[in-house]
Amino acid sequence: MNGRIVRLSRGDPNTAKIYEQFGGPAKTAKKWQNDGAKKLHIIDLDAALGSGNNRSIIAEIAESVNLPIQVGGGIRTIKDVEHLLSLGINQVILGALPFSDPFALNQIQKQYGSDVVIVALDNKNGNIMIEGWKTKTMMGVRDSLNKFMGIGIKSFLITSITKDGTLSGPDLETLDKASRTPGAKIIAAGGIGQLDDLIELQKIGVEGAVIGKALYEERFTLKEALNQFGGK
Amino acid sequence: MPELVILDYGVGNLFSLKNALEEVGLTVRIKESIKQSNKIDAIALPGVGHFTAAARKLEFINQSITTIVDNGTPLLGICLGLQLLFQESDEGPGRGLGIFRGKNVRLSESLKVPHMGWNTLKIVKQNEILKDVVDNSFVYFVHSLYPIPVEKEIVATKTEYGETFTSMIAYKNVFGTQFHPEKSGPIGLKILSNFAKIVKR
Repeated sequence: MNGRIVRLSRGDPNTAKIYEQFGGPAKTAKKWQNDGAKKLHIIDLDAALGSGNNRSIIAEIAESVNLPIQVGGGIRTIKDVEHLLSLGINQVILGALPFSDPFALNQIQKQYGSDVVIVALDNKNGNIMIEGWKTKTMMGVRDSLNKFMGIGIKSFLITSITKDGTLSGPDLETLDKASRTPGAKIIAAGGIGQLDDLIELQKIGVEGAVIGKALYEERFTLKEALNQFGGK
Repeated sequence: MPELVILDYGVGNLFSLKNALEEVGLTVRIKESIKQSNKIDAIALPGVGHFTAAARKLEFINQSITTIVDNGTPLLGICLGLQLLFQESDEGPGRGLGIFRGKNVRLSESLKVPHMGWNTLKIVKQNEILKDVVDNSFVYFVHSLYPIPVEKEIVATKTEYGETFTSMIAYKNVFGTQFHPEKSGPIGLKILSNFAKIVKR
C-alpha cells in the first residue's frame, strides 16, 4: 500500500500498519529469499481497494529476487494479467474477475494456461466477497470451488476475512471442507499466528499457507517454519 | 563482460531469466534471430511457449545455432529450451534442434500436471555446472513434458515425480535444465553462476 509493506486487520484500510523493520519491499523480499522462502505472495492493496496501484514496486521486487511470485489485488482485465506476467510474475490471484467476467477468465486460461491462475475465494460468514472485500457475491466456498474446477482452474486461495490479520488461528472448518474437493490445490490464508496453526493445516492437507503478519510481528521465524515443514 | 543472447521464440516473459543472468555477471541481449557471423559468447534458450510454435520460429536459424554450438559456444536450455535440444516432442509436431537424440514425452496423466513446485535434484553425474550444488537440492519446476535422451551419459540429474525423469543434462558446452534456475532462489543462482564461469573461460 502506497509503496510500503503493510498489514491490515480484516481488510480494513484504517488498520494499516507498516512493517519495514527489514527495509523496503525489495529489500524485505530479498531477506525472505535468503531465509529460505520458496515462494512470495504479494497483494497490491491499493489496486484491490481501487485507489491506485503498486506495479512499479512489484516490478522492483521481481527484479531483486529469483523466486516464483504470485500477485493479487485489482487484477481486473487481461491487460493487467499480461502486464504482471511480463514483469516476471508467475501466478496471478484473481478475486473479482472470475465472478464478474468469466469470459475473460477463460481467455486468460487459454492464452497463458490454467497454472498461472489462482482463484481467490475470500469469504465472510460463508459468502465470497470481492472488490477489496466490499462487495458480496451470492456464492459460497464449496459451490465456487466446484464451479471453477469445472472450467479447469486448479489452484485456490481461501482467505477467511474475519480471521485475516488477527493472528487468532485459521478457519480450519472451511479449509477442511474445501480441501475435500478432489483435485483442488488449496492455499490457506488468514489468521495464521503460530507454528501450531501450520501443523493443523498440514493435517487438513492444504497445498500451502500464506504467512504474513505472524512473520512481520515475529511470532515465529521463517527458518523455524521451514525447519518444521521443509517448505515447498 | 561476456555477451549472452537469449533467443526469443515465444510469448514474452524473459524478464526473470535476463535478470538472473545479469546478476551472475553476463551481458544479456534478447534477440529473435542470430547469424553464425555474430560474435556471441553464449546462448540461452528460454522456457516459455509451445514446442511446435518454438520449433517453427527456430526453423530458419536452426543451422546457425548448431554451428555456433559445434564451435564450442556454451548453450543453456531451460524447460522448453531443454526440450528443444532434442528431436521431437509429444506436445506437438515440429523438429527440435536435434543437438541430442531423443524425444520429449508427457508426464503420466495420473499425476497432477503440470508438475509445478519445488522438487529435488538427484545428481547422477557430476559436472562443473553443479559445482557446490549438494545432492537433493530443491529447485522450481513448471512443466508437463520431459526429454528422454538416447545417450544416457548426457544426464546430469534426475528428479522423482511419480516417475523418475531427466531434470538436467550436461555434455561438453551444452547444458539444459527442466527446472527454472531463474526461479530457484540461491541454488538456481549458483547453477547460473557456474554456467557464467564456463562462459567466461
